[in-house]
Amino acid sequence: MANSQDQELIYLKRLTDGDESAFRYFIKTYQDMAFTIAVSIVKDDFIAQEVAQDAFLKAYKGIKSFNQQSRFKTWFYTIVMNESLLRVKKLKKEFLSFNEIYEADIPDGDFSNVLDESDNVELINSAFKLMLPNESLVLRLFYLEEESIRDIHTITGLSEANIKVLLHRARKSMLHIIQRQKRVKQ
Amino acid sequence: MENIDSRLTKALRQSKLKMPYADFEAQVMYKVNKEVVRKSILRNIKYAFIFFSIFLLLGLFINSQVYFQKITIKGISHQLLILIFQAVFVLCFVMQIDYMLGIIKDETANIFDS
Repeated sequence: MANSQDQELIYLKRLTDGDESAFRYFIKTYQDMAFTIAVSIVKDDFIAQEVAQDAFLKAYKGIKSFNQQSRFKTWFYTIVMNESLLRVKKLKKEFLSFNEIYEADIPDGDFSNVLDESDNVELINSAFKLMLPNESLVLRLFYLEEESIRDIHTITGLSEANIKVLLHRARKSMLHIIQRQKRVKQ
Repeated sequence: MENIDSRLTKALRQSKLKMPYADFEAQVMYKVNKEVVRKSILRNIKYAFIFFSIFLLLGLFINSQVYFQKITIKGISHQLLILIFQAVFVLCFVMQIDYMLGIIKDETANIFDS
């Protein structure tokens, strides 16, 4: 972990010294997660790819303003999130939101039954597309990137209490969507 | 709860999205390189304006000095000197304007191209 951070600092130094080819390292390292975050918000693969490109370009332009007090990825994910929100605002796209009441009391233990299935990946990804943007974003940052609540707070600007609530709702929401999709399949 | 969290983490890890566009890196680097070119053009424009302003003021200063001080060089009358200075001044002015319009045009084309 420390090794990759050291490596990152080396590439950052090269980049700030004017070697733009060093930026390839950051693209290779963060393109998947940038795409994942963008998809969580814009809900469209092609637009998410465009947003990720814009975010990388913005990061490149603003690399000198990155003060290195926070981690690069925290700073970069904030850019991706802001770019995604900006794009949504621009397009005034209506999200396919999951608006059903999912606050129904579903015991958390039910997850174990749902998640043991072989078709998890497909189900989870389609569930992510149906979830509210802020829920899918928080869920992905917390479980995929293993970001701490504090880091998620830095990236999203949401309060820590709000993030905890969102995580709880997101888990329930995902479970509910997966169960519903399974019922439809059967 | 911990068990469920680890199951959820495992399941979500499996579903981690990969960038589906193979040329993504190349496209970003293309844009980055364009940005480098754009920055260098903007720097050129900035320097062009700075030097243009400096030499514009210098030219005006020399012209006024030759006119008011009635300076003569090697027997050339100050009126002829003013004429020569004015001709050089106008020539430099036109060439500089032409150069600056050229780089501004390049920059505009660069922006519209991207």
